[in-house]
Amino acid sequence: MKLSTLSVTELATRLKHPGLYLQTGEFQLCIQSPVPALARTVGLLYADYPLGSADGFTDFHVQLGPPAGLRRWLRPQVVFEFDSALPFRPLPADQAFPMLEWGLNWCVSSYANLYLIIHAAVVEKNGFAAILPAPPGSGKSTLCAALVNRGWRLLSDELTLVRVGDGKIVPLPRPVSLKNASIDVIQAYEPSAVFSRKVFDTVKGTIAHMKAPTDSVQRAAEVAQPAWIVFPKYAAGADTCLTPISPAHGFMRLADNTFNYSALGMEGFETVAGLMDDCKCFDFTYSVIDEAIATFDALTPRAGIA
Amino acid sequence: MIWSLQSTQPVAIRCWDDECVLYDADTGNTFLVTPFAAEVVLRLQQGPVDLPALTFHFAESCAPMSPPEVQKQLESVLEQLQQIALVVRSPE
Repeated sequence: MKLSTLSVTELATRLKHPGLYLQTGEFQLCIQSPVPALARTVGLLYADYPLGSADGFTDFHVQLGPPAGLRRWLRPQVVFEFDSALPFRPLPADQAFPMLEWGLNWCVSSYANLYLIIHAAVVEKNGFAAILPAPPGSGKSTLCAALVNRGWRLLSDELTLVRVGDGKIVPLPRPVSLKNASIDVIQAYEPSAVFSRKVFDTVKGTIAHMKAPTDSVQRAAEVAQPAWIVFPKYAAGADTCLTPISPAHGFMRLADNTFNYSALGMEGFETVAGLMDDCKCFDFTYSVIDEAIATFDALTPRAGIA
Repeated sequence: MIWSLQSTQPVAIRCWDDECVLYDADTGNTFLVTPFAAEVVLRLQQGPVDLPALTFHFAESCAPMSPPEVQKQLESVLEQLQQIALVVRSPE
């Protein structure tokens, strides 16, 4: 049963109590919140996700609501609560949905140590996945959003989960976070894409989230074979340029973009080494999205991987 | 002088072409090293050794370099590995 089967009223009621149980990739979430605007955005962007069950194991119980005290009446704020702890400072109430997304990313990156977790978007086509590790501002999410609107499957916009042991990519398709000018770029590039409203003046500037493609959500249990590691960099006016990186240098740069390489110890080392065995590594500079898509479509996997 | 690994745990090494990465489980540090440095670490993993013995060990595989040239290369590599706290020098 999908979330879209709930009416707006039912969704808001569940969010208040006992909580909305939702399956996102491998993780079952329970989200509790009395914030009406949050219900609307969750209803819009998570419409295709399977509802979870209170009877099953829930990986992350999170709550978003007003902080205690008078502040809630003066300039409304929202706090993110995880297992009765408050890991973040309150934010203005209209930032509830971005805060939910950031908080869920934090939950996964802090606790899902069955996986090597890379700060990277990851997309798949014909069974092969391209990992896009990059710092904020590199154009990673813009490129990811464009690719998934042109035939690539969204595995994740923010957290690449590499299964320790077999090195497969485990999907975690959730809404794609776009910032500032990238929002208008992707809205113009794919007018049929579904977006949340823009949220202004966040710590990252203006934020909007793009709904994950329905097919990506429906195939969330389908793991993928990593084949390429591409470090993207948007540069205005730059030519499209794909430059190979040696595996050892790719190793060091990829490890720098992980959340838990050190925590995994030898398993982390072996997992990154396995990625280098399987993947071709590149630096990628682009400014024209269609040229970037064409470059990705022309990628070929390393011989012998399956 | 005897050279030995500082790490008390196995050091993992993976090489591709002419570059290697090395993981020191003791410290959790990862280093980018040359294949020659990786070979030196692998030899030290078998046990402490002095420079002449190490030179003898590598002389054949480093041919046509002369033993003094091999020793010079080893001194340079050991110095670098010492700087990143992977190896330690101790009196015989």
